[in-house]
Formats: sequence, structure tokens, C-alpha cells
Amino acid sequence: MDDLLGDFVAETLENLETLSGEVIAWETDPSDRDRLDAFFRFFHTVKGSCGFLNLPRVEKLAHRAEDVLAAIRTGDRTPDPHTISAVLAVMDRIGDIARAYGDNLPVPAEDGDEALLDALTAAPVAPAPVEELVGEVELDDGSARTLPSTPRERAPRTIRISLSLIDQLMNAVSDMVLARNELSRKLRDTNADPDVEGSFERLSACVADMRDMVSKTRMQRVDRLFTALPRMVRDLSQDLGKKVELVLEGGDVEMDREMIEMVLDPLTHIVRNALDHGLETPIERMAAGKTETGHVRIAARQSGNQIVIEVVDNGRGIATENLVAKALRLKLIGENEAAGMTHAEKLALIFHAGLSTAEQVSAISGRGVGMDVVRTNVERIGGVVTLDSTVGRGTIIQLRVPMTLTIIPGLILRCGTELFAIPRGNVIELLHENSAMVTVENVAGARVATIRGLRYSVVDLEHLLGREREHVEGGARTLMLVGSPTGVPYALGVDAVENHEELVIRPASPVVMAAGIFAGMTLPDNGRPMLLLDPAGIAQVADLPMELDKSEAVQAELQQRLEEKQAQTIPALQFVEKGGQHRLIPLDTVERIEDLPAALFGVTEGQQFVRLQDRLVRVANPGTINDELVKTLHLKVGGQEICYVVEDVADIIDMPIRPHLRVRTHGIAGVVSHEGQHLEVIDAHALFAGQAADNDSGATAPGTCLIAGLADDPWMRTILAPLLVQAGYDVRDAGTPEIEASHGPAVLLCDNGAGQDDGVGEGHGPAMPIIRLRAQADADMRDPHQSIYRYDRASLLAAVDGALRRQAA
Amino acid sequence: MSAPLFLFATVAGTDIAMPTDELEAVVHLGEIMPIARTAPQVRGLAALRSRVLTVIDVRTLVTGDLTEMGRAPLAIVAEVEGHTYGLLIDRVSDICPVEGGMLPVRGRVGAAWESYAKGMILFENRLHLAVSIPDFIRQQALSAAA
Repeated sequence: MDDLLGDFVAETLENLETLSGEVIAWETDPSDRDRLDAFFRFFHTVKGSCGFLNLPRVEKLAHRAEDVLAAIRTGDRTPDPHTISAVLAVMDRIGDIARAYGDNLPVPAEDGDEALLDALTAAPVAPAPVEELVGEVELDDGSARTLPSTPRERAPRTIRISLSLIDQLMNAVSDMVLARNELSRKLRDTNADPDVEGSFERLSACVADMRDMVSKTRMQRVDRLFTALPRMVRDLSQDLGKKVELVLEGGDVEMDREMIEMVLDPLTHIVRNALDHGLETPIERMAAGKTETGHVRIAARQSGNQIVIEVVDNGRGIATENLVAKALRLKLIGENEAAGMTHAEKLALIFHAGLSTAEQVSAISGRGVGMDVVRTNVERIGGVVTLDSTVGRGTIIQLRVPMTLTIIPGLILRCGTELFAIPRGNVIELLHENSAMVTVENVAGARVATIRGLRYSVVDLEHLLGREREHVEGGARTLMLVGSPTGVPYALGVDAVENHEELVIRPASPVVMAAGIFAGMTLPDNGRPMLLLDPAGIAQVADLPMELDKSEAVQAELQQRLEEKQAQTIPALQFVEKGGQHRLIPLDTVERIEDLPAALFGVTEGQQFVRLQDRLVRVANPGTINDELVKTLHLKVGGQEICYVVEDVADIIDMPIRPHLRVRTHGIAGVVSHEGQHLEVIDAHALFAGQAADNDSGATAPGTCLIAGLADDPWMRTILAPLLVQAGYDVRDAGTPEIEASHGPAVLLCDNGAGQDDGVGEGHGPAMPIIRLRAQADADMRDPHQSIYRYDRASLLAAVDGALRRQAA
Repeated sequence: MSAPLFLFATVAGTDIAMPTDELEAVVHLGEIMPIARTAPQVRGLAALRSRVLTVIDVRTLVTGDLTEMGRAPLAIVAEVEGHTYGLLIDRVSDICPVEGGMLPVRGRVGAAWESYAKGMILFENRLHLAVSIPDFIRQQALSAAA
């Protein structure tokens, strides 16, 4: 293809993509000159290029659209919905033609053009009924929080690079890493001199940086996922005669390019469902006492190495009784089973193939492709779909997908002489077969493992692979308790688990995937290819029974074990106090370790300070300074700094987040036993609060503390969460979907500034008490929330305790 | 236009030829890691620098027998539908432009090769069976699915 034409096609399509989001916003506010100008420029540019490239047909289309927009600019025409639709239709046609040129496909027939142009120039006819049908779509791209003085952020400078070039770059970097590893082995074997090793280390660091940067080129903003949505929602709402306000949030979150492509279809489907089945018509809404306009909110956010995309509508919700009735009719469940189902279980029926709540199948959501396909597609990429709905109030669907397909933490396991990887996220527990907690029995050929009273199917990997099981004298095999988010956990028997590694996963070829038990392949640093096992596939191929053990004890046990695994330990710094005793402090609070000259220390009004550059920082444990150089821990959390004078730094260890012994006295949070030593854990909260903790030993009311922003806010994570855990509460992120399932009293803690946007108060019901914490010591008279100063430990704990007691009562 | 380039190779005693634009290289493979539960012609995975090849035994496809692998078996590297494959062959004789390109099939090609025959190539006064690399991948993807 001609280079010039290629550039024109790429540029036009890119502009169209950007504009499709803008058009709806412009329609909502026709007086927005900036947007109007943007469209005008687009058509003007297309017209110009087409003249140059001799594409008279596109030129004509662009020219007429430009004329109409020019008339609107001068005020001769009003941007009524009819005109906007006509302009959009012309844009679509230009896009179709450009794509056809780009892919060397036959160009769409020309006969439709005239009709489009007529619609464009026609005076708006009978606007009244049309207006009634127009979907109102409002755009909120979440950029409102940026500086108000610059309403539109200038896009970062970019150039266009072909994907294959990036892939080649990625491959080249991988080659480089392998070459480095080889060199590293050779250097080790030959005992190279330290000078050479130094240079090699530098090279290694560069290579590692480069690998990171190249991986970043694969990341794209979620905006790309969002661009098509406003237009789709507009068109759909028009077709359906519904009024919709669409809110998009978190477009600046980044995820892997491939991942975006994989999520696009499921997301589109969910949004279509929300519009078609979820939202009511304006008349129905009015009758139900709701606003005429329905809301659909799509929000993306990062949570750890996952991206959470939430689609929330305030429509009619899902009628669970219809689902149950249909499931009964289709014999998916029995009468008894149906009677014992919880609300969540009934809702989960929607993920069954063949169940769709709508009475009729419509053209919008179509038939065939249902939520079961959405779930399958999301799970295929290692994600999870959850759904909650209240009849009359609306539906929340949450997609959780890994940020990238390509790098996952994995466990390497050995089976005979072969090595395999398995995603670490799927492994609940590792046990030795001869452990006291495990018994493995043969029941009529079925192998069953009983682990702490629960029974699991056992799959021996060798058996599945058709290999002979090697008998190793005295070597106990390892049982991996494996589960997918939705399946039934089972025990996978392997020879041994070797180690864990971050693995770069690439897709395996179809012939390999046909085996049904592999999810991909990886090339570890030793250069020997390795396959990634697919836990769900193994369960399927091994033909394991799929019914869940429904008893609550089983569920609770699994849940607890998962949680224990997630929140068991945090890294802690072990240091030696001036007095000689060893103590621990959470590593996250330690900014750096410094030797400071004694001259920098001073005392003011009984408080000891140290001068760091131009700031004075409080010393947490004042004492006499004898040495010339004083070793200090520089602690910093959420902008607050403290110095802690120590004798020496000993080690970094993994410390259980729940101390083995809870004490609450003189700045100590508890005692942890580690390798035969008893180590006191510094109460970081008390340190920052500037006062030793009170001797409160009163029993606390049991309950759950939900913390908004636990994953993102370091203060919440390293200071608040340990304080509450040590006080005996369950602590969870307010954003996790399991909250709904949790029972018993709960309280939500959040930053005073947090609002609806941060997910505070959403989905938790009005009964959930909220405790707001502020960073300033002094109360603001205008503060409507009666917030609590976050270092006011006594008030904070009293508020939590009080709220939980009130709920329990 | 210059004459099209072909690679000439031998598999199970049959001389074959394929257009060079379908392949990337001919290499000696290192270690091949076998894969369980796959079709017999899938011999395993092999690393080629940082790439991982799925190794396909062409002999198995046509005769059902396995190619005897020496220390460094010879394979054609090709990318088909986004995945990289290594096709095991016995011998590569040459890469040459062929004036006139592919000729139509004459005679009755045996059952083994029937589904792969694209035409015939006259090279050094001998006829070679013209084949297309993606056929070896697609055909067996079908058989694996069946």
C-alpha cells in the first residue's frame, strides 16, 4: 500500500477513535466551542488530505460535513440531535472507507452516501419525537480532579511504532537476559576478578532496567477500553428509548495491551446487558419513583497486580426468583437445593449456560452469548467476575483481571524429571503427604486426601501426564491444594515443589493447548522451556466431581485459610536498641537507615530533635547521645517523619501480622517469637502518635474493620491496619467483593476526604457506620463528619469499639 | 520479477520443496522437552535463543513413524498464526530460485502426502513435491481437535 495512503488511514482512524468519545459530550453541551472546533478540524483535515491523495468520494463526504459544522459555528444552524446523528453517520462512513483502504478490502458501496448527505443537509424535521428518544450521555472521565486551571491536559508527546517492532524489541531483550545469565554462570565458574564482576553487575542492572521499560511499552491506558463506550451507549439508548447517564472513571489506569483486547468483549457485553435488561424505560422509572435518567457507572482501578473494572447501574436489578424458576425448569437444580440457596447463590445462577432473565431475547444483548460466556472469557485470562444485585435498586458487576498476561508469580514443581509451573494465585496450600495433617486413602480406586477434616480429590500429575510414577525412597511427595476462584479445590500430587519465580508467560501453540491441561509456556532463565499448568483444565481432564461441599464449615475453613495465606506476614526490620534488646519494626515504615553526626541532635522544650537538611525531625526515643555518629532509623509514613535512635540493625525477617503475644504497653505492640528469640514489636502507631500507648487491656467487641483505600494508602496499610489487627479486629479492604459475604458487625474507616468516588458507603448499605479520619490534629469547625484525628488512638479505638457494639446490640 | 526462492528438503525419502517466504530459518535444535497428552507428531518444546518452538515431526504426519533424533536434529523454523514452530526434517539440500515456479501435480500422489501436495517443482532435473508449511500445522491442529 502507498505510504501516504497508509499514513492517512492510520491518522484518520486514530482521530476518529479520539473523537467518538467527544461527540457525545459535545451533544450534551452544544455550546462547547472547543469540541465543535475539534470536529470541524477533523473534517477539514480529512478533506484536505483526500484532495491531495485524490479520493474524491471521501473528500465530498468530509466537505459537506464541514459545511454543516461551519454553519453551526456561525450560528446559522443549531446542533440538534438530528444533525448530530447525521454527522456521526458521515464519520462512520469515512471510518469504514478508511478501514477498507487500510485492510485492502473492498470499499463499501457508494450508493449509501447520498442518503447520508441528504440527512446532513436536510432541515431538522419533526424534532419533538426524536428528542424524546435521544439518550442523554454525560461524560466524566475522572479528570475533574486535576488542576482546574488546565481544563484539558496536554497529551504526552508520542510517536507511532508498529507492534511487531515492540515484539521484536521484547524478544531482543529476552535474548539479552539469557546471554547475561550464561555469562553470569561462566563468571562464577572461572572465579573472575572483582573488577570484572563489578562491571558485570552494572551491565546486569542495565539489562534488568531495560526489561522493565520494554514491558512498560506494552501497557496502555484503560481509556482505550472506554473510548468506544460513550458512542455505543448513546446509540443503544436511542434504539431502546431509554435515557442514560454514563460515567467513566479511572481511564488513566494502565494495563497490558493484550489484556485490554481480551477484556473489551466481556465489558461491552456487560454494558449492553445493563442498558438492555438492567435499566428501565423513562416511564417505568418514573412509575418506580426513580429519576427518568438511568445511571451506568464504569470505573477502573488498580488493586495490587489486578485491575478491577466495575459496572454499576441503578436499574431494575436481577429478579432471583425468575432465575431460580428457570433453573428448575431446565433441571439445573433440584427443588430442595433451590429452597436452601442464599441470595448470592441464586444470583450466581446467571452464570449458568442457557439462563437469561429477560423474558424475550432482544436484538441488543442477543441470544446465545450470555453471562456464562462472559465468565468463561474472563476466567480464561485469569480473572474473576462477581455480581451483586438488589431488585429495584440495580446491579454491580465486577471484573477482576490480572494487570498483565505476561508476568505472573508462579511455583515451579517437579514431576519425574520434568518441571512445570503453576500460577501461585491458584495454590491455596502446600503439604507433605506424610504430614500429620494429611491422610490419603484409596476408595474403590478414588484417591481422597483428608486435610484437617476436609476431603479433597487427589490428582497425581504423573498419572495425568501418562508418566510412570517414580518411587523415591524416603522422599515424601508434595500435595498442592489447588483451587480456581470458582471451581472445587483439589489436591495435586507432585514429586516436589522446587521454588517460586516471576514467570514471563507466553501463549502456547494450539496443538499444545489441545492437551487441555496447559495455560501457556515460559522460558525461565536456565533456557529450558517449561509449561504452565492450568488448574481448572486439570480438574476437567481428570474428570473430578464438581459439586461443592456446601456445609458452611467447609466454606469458612477455606476462606480462612485463603485469608491467612494472604495476610500472614509482613517484612520487619530487626534492630538492636541502645539497651541491647532486639526489637522489630514494620519494614514499610522505615524510609532509610542513617548514621547522623551527634552535632545534628538538639533538645527543645524537653523534646529531642534531629536536624535533617533544613527540617527538624522528632526523635522518638530521646536519650543521651554519646557517640560521634548516631545510627538512626528514619521512619516515614504518609508525609510524617520520625527518627529512632538504635545501636545497630540486625536483619530483615517476615513477622506475623498478629503477634504471638499481645501486650500493649510503652510503645510495644506485642511479642513475636522468631528462631528461638522473643522479639518485641514496636507499636508504630503509638510512635507516630507521639505518645506511649495507654495501658488499655479492655476486651474489644468482635467485628470487622473495612478500610477504604487499604491497598493504596501507605498510612492505612502500615499504621492503621496493624493497630486494628493488634486490637483484635478483622481488617479488610473495603473494595474487596467478599464484604457482602461477611457476617457480623462491621465498620468502615476512611480518610475524611473520601467520598462516593472512592467507593465509600457504596454497596455497604446505610447501616454501615463510617468513621472518618483526618490528618490534621485540630478539628475544622466546618467539618460535617465529626472526623477523628488519626493519631488520637483512644478516640479512634473507642469509636470503632462503640460502633461495633451498637451494631451487635 | 525475479524467480521465486524455494527450500529443498527430504522427509522420509520424499524430496519436497517449499517457498522460502513461509519460513524463517533452518536450525539444529538443542534439547527437546516432550509434552504429555498431545498428538504424536508434537515432539515437544525447544528453545531457540529466547523463543520457544513447538516441534512438529513431519515424518509422523506423513508416515506415522517418529524421526530418529540425533544430537542436534534439523528443523525448519516458521511462524504460523502467531506461534513459532520447528518442523523436523531429515535433510536440507539447497535454497534456489526456480524459474517458472510451481508446476501442476501430475500422477497420483500417495495417500501420505496427498493432503499436503500443492504442486511440483523441477529442480536439478528432478521433480520435487511442492508443499506449504502452514498445512503441516493446520492439518494437525484439526486432527488434534478431532
